[in-house]
Amino acid sequence: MSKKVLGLATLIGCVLAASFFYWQQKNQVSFHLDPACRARYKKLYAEEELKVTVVFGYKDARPQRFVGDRYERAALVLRALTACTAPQGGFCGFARDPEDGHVFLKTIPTPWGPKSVRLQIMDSSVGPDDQDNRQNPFQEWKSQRTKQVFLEALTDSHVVLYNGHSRAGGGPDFLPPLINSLGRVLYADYRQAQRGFMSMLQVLGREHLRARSQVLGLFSCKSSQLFEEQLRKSRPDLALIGSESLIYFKDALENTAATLDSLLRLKCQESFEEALKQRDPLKGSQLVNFFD
Amino acid sequence: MGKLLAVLFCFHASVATAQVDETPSSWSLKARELFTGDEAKISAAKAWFQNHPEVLSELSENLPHLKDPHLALDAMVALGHREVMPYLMEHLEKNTDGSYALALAAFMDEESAPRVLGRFKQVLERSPHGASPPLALVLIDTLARLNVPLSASTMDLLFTHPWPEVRSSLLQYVRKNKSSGHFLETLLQDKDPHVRLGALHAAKELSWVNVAAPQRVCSTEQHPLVLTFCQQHFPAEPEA
Repeated sequence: MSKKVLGLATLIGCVLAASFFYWQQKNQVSFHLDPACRARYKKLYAEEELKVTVVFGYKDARPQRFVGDRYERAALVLRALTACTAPQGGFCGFARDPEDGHVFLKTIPTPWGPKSVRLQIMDSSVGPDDQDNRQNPFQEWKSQRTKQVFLEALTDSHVVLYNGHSRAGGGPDFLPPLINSLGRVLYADYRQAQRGFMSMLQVLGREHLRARSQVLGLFSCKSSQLFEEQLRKSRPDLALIGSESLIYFKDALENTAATLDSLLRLKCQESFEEALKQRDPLKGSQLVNFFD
Repeated sequence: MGKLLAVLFCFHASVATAQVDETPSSWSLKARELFTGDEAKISAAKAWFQNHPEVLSELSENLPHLKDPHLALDAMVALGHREVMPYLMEHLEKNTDGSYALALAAFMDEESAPRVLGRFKQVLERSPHGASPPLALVLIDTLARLNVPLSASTMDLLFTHPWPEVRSSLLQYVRKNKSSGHFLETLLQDKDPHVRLGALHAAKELSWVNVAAPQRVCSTEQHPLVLTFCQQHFPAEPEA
């Protein structure tokens, strides 16, 4: 009888020990980074705080009146604020800065100790109706403010992600679009003037030496072919994420979130590219110059 | 027996879902072309959906199980597949990102407007903090744009919503309605600087707003961004 009790107690003990060991393993963050991957992230996380800026451009659907960037931002914010389910964390578990509703904060584990992450998420429109927005003076102010944050981030943030229109090569745009009397966007004007893109290039060229930026993501239609070559000339050290083709808004949003998640979980090349669906030219985004 | 039935049901459900995703495997390709293609591709994609009328019906029946529900929903909106509306109305609260509400707002016409707006109002009034914030944002935007009032108690609770984006969207009521000046006073004192900025812009723009309130708020403002706006547009009165 006592042998049976002893056996049972041993069995229970073993089960408890195994459960504890499993729990500990599950909740322990371990980093298995190859040397090149480790070196890359060591550079990205060299400072105590990682600054990340995500900016949504003015996402009109002209010739329709609908403007969607506030809703896309809200969906992204919801993800940022959702509690993490895995110990590695990632793009989750942020707390909103009580001083500034556009800023989200968290601390993440890295091989070099815990690091703070300051994530700023901005949008451009003041409402969902382009026609109303054009009559609202707050729209001009907000567009200019978001543009300013984006351009400053090119120097001051380690990671800058733009999610919006490419304006057929015009570049990032934060204002209601230039349209004709039928409500159609004047793409030729954007293509020719390239105002948004030139503003970017100016900042990137001017602030090259003291820039903190290491990753620039342009989640907008055909951004790889429209902007990559000149961006690489302007800032050869900058890692770029772009789209090969016209990209559906939800795919662009998913890839924006996947980029944030990958960077915060220190994903190495293969899993980062998989998260971005790099091999799918229709839905995916292309990461270049980050690990190579 | 029950387990067997459950397994069979699950098997059937997964096969049904797979069929929608895989059979006309081109549906998602065609749907993407509706939104990312040139005019020729858009026309071709529309024609494809017209030639396969069963696809949208199958997609709408399996909406929550699809790999790409947003794309399916956007295609339904673009192609006017209104049969999905009852499903969207019924499951409005469960959809946390607000895409069902956006689709309903896009489908809305004169005949369906009272039902859709009534449902939107019901979701907010039943639990002003209960709806997912992205959903609440769409509901408030739509109701405010069409000047559909919410009850005073709902508004009071929405002004204390934890998301500044939701509080900020209430400004649209102020812009639409002169009788909502007291809402502006509340938003001018919001704890988030971006909400205060929006309110100050409205106060500057709307001629019927008494400038005493923004000036009072500006006199104690600390946030640099808001302070700059205050100094430009609501400077302190020189002391006598």
